[in-house]
Amino acid sequence: MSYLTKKEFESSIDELYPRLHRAMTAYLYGTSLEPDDILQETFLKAIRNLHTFQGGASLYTWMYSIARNICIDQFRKLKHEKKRDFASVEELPITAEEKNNTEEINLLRKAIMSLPDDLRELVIMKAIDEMGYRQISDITGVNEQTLKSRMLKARKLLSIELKKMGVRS
Amino acid sequence: MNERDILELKINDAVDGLLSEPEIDQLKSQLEKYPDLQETFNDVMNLPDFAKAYPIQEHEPAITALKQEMISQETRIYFLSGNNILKYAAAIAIMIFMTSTYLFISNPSLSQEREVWDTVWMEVHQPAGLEQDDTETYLGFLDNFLGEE
Repeated sequence: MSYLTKKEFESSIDELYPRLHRAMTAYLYGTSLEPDDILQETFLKAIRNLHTFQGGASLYTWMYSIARNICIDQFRKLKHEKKRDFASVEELPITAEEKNNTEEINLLRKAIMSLPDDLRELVIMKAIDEMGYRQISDITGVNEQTLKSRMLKARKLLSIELKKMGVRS
Repeated sequence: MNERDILELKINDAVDGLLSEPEIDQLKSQLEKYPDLQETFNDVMNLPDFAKAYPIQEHEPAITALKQEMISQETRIYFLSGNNILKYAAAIAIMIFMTSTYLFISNPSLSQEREVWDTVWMEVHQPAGLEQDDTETYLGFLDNFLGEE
């Protein structure tokens, strides 16, 4: 038995999409993958597998996990992870969207981008998507205590990076 | 877990907004023994709001397109599923059979032809029992059929 009908799921799209889009935009920053493409695949996959949603986690957490797995698959296919690891923040191309952003937004994005993969993902989930440590733990499989320690480490690194960029707190 | 680890976790809780003002004051006094942690506390407490880097935006056209795609995918899945193909094949077969039967019964020309062929049958198999009218109908049919005047 599914905890959610297709109709209920469809009516939640308006709420889920913008939030998930923001998270995926942050997650995919610096790659050639488009958040819209990932989200389309995510929602279509979710509705096909709605019977597997058991309501233990929130619908958003479940959706985020699907989107994250799709991204990981795409990274594997395109070997983007490797490409991204070797690209320095300064080397990242400036997109049309970034031209319209304020300098502060671009600097914050680049500071997040400078973090190692696991810390960057954590910052996206905690500081941008405002998830709780429990939700993040459900998604990543890392225990809450470890997540908190990593979050402090990420914050320290962000502080150092922002100081280097000349951004005052 | 040593005292430093505990204090680090408290610093993180403070940034997450989980500590009250008195708890923060208590933490500050505990950090006096650890100048490096005190510096960390000051740095991370003053970080900007990273949510500003990715503001939530409207995605109305993308959501509409997605909903349409979901409907068409659902329709495709429904029609292409094995059970439904069999159901539709059976329904079409029944419909064709019923339509053919109805046309056969209700169409006057088909009905007349049947009468003619019944007559032919009688002509061939029961020549002795034929009425005059039957023979005329049969001959008339043959004339029409062969295009003779």
